Amino acid sequence: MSERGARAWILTPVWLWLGTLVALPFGIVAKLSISEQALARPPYRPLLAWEEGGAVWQGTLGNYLMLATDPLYLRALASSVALAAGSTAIALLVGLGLAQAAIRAPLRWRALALAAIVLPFWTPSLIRIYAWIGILKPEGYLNAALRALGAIEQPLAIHGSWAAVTIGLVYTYLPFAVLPIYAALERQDPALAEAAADLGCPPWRAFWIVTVPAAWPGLAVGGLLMFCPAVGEFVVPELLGGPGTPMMGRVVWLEFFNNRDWPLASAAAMALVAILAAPFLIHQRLGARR
Amino acid sequence: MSAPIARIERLGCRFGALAAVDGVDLDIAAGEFLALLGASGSGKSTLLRAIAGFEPPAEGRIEIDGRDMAGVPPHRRPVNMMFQSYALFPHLDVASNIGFGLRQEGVAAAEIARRVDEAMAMVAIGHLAGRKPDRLSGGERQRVALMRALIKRPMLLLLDEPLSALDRKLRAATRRELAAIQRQVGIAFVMVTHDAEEAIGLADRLAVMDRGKLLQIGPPRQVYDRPANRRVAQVTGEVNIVEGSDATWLDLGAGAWAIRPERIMLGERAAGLPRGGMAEVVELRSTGALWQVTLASERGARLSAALLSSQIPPTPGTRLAFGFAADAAVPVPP
Amino acid sequence: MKRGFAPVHGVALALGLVFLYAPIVLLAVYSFNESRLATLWGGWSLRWYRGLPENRALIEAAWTSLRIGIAAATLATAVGTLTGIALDRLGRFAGRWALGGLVALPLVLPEAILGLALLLTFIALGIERGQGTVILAHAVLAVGYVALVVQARLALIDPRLEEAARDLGCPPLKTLAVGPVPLLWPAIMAGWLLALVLSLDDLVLASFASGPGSTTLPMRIFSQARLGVTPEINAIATLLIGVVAATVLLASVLIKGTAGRR
Repeated sequence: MSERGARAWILTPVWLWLGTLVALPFGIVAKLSISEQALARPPYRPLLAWEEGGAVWQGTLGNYLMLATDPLYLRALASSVALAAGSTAIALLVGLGLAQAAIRAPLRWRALALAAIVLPFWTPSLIRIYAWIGILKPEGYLNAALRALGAIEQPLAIHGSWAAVTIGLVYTYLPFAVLPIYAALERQDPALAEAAADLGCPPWRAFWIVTVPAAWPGLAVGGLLMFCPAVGEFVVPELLGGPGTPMMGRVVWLEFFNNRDWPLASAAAMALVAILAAPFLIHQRLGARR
Repeated sequence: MSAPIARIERLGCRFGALAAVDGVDLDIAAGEFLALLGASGSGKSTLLRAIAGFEPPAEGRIEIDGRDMAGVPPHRRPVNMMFQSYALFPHLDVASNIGFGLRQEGVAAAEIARRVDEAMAMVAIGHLAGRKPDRLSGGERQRVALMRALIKRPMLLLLDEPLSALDRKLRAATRRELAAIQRQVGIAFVMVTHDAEEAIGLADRLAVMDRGKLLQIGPPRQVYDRPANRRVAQVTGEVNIVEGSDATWLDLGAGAWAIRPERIMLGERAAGLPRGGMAEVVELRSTGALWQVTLASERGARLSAALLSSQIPPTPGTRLAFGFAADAAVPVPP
Repeated sequence: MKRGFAPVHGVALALGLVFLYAPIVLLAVYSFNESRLATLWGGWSLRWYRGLPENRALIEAAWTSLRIGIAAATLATAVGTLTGIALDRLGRFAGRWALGGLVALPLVLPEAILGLALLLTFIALGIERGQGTVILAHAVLAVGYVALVVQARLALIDPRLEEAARDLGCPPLKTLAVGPVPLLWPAIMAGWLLALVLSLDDLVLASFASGPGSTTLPMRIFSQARLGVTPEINAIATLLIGVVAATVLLASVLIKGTAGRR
């Protein structure tokens, strides 16, 4: 078989798969986002209608206009970005601490420490998020413990708050942050930290001005890998959040399932993608400058 | 030797059961260039790292400028190190890398800028000030690393295999530059290397280490010509070790003897030399600058001799006379 | 090279592990609680586990999830392995850049968007929704992960192996089969396992892509969890975590064993 033949055997199924199940769906969402809702099956009007005298354009930017003007959607957009960004920042800090601690552990403990950090993430995330309800709800373990210690009299209303959603996001996506950071720190020449110390920099300062900046590529990748799914998260705000923590993933879900507004759900999805494109472009820009 | 700037007494470092550095005594004089020579695993790098403060000594003491260094962390020691990997900070440009140490001391920005410019001018890298390390050549990185360590004017500059990452040709030029800079700044240099030629060519004093112990220390030529024992003779260069019946063949006394190949003369040049005999030429090889000749006695003892390429080489298979001066054979206890 | 493990590192590690494991441990402990009230300890009991076999809907959902997971993982491993080979071994080809982007897209897109897009596509193409569509949806997500794992492993395998095979007269496709693919087995197995776990874990994609008769276990658990914490969910959750953790540990031992033999 020729070289060309071998390539075709590999590339044809791959392109077919990615074309119909990734590219096409994306195009359909884009198309629907500029369609108009209708009381029909399917519940939208086609972009082009055939009437007398030819095709009539029925596309509209109304869905986007609605997203951009309705305070409800704007709030969901803003709070999605804020919650995802905040929890990504926290996860990066926690990840840095955990990765650094694991790397400094004696060699035979290192793999074990990393495995212990990663193992929980093989278990179903739905269950791990659900477990936090029991801890955070008013009559949950945390409040019970605090009350037993005499720290509080009235239960703290953590469940349903932004704090609960942040905890949930950090907990769910921590490995996305830890693993790239761990990889970056492990690749780092240990002489870097030593050189900083040798030049008069105390250890704590050396960690922040040398070790962390030198691991920046890992931090950026970890941050992106976490921020992107987190910004559109559905399960965490649904189970741990409340009316004060609207997120776009839920908006897409609710518009689609509850309001049957497919075009608006599609427009919300496209808006989310636009938000996600921003950090990618910044990342590439930074990468190019290096 | 002037008053020592650093004293190392009975120093020992351990990795588990292994004694990486074992009872080392060493004085370092102000302004001298000291080379620590040894094979990998000889403890030379550990000794250097102990002076810098990265390896806690298990026993003994290190004194720098009259101050005991026990318990002093690396960032408070008046020494700086040039790392084998250079350890340049990848996120900082050349000027910031060089100025790093001064910033840690809280030196004023204008003063830092001035001294960084001066340092860069010294090794002609001023045009690279704004570059990140990953856009520098090997030689440029080496200079940045050297200047970053020197700019704080340490009591002692520690160099861990400073030339090993460079290719052969660059190494020769950089070696000359390193010697010139050392003379110019007058700071004591302690260089770790496994390359005997490099150590002998650069150092004022040569210290040979093996299995954690300091075997011999002295002027490089003296160590090379009069090695204290077999290991020193081997580490410092090519050498014939002659012992037992081979030693009797050469009229040497009992025990083991070291003879450098270039001290063995062949053919008519051997005439009149007090030691020697007849041997067969079994192999002739050229390294470019030298001929390497392998000689064999009738009983199979081997000797290698080296002569300059400009001389006419002997023909393999022939028998010829060889000889060497009385002081060319040095007794070397094991 | 020695690097210091200071007390601060020990504390960081300990705190991190408490954060990671405390919720799971609490969940597991309270699944053995006699009391119906979540936070009141009423003594050890297996009563919530005894009730599980009679919960027909739950059992059915578990089997559905397993069937879908195995099918999706197998499909994703086949496509993902080809994709990984295409990305690492075919050099430059037209559209390589786009291919890489399309593979990575499902990894970074929020699941709600991917789910919506796939559902709209199934509707547009007139594909009846059911277990098949859930399998496809899960495979779409998992292909990216499998390709990533395979590509990373391939990058570690010397391409000169294949050149040697070609040099000795092996045709191109067969070269892949005798050269890197046998060495890839650990990565392919790891990819399959990862795909299975992703499928068993997923709620959002399944909710969008499912139709009648394809309610998965996470969907079933989710519909109950929305209503609050109950000992029954604690029990099934603990069981699931135990099964998954055991599978992962077993698999990692197996994979390490395979890797070690080579």
